[in-house]
Amino acid sequence: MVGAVRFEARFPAVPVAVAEVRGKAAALARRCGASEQGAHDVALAVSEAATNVVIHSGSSEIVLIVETHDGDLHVIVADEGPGLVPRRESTGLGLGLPIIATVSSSFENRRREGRNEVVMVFPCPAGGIS
Amino acid sequence: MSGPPTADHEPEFELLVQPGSGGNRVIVGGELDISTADTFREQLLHALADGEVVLDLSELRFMDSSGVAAIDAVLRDPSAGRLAVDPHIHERVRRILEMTHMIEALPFAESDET
Repeated sequence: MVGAVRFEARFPAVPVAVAEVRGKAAALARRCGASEQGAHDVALAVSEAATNVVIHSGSSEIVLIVETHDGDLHVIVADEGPGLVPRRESTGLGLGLPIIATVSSSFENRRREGRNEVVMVFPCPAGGIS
Repeated sequence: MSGPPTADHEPEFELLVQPGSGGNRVIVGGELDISTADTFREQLLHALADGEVVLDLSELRFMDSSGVAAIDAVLRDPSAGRLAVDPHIHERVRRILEMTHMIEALPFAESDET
């Protein structure tokens, strides 16, 4: 059965949790009919967004929300920190958001109801999550 | 659907240093992300301190920008001149190396097939 499904889960904002966050998102993308490449794109984008939460947000949790809208898969990585805060000691190259922009159909950063959200849209070939 | 915060799935990561006649072969497998990139960078630099290294990424199945940053850090180290990268790289890992243009900076070893 294919239909509207909303998945939400919270994870500790620590480095070892990032693999689980992207794994959950990729599994849901597969249930949406994504190819292995498509599911990997979802995993990559979520890994980048979740890594940003761990490094920059100051939040204790990563929130993953996955839902379908109009036949697309919307994957939201959210946190309840103060917003994107540059870290001088960060060893990152600033590649996270460009990678998300490359592998997703579209994405936006927004602040809603006291939390920061990265909303990433991907194809959902099955039209919904089975 | 919601649940309590958990982190019960840690990324798989393996790094094997295989001694050879011309130097060490460093074989990396699993996933290279924020939780494994520091270990990767430190162990690769440690191997480079001992001499020539061929980096084998053929068993690596996932890499994000944390992995790219770790490779960038190694390439900026003075010992990077002793590094060669085996050109056999999983398609998904190659894709992010191409996406970030890191592929252009990698010192590829000559392929056995050429």
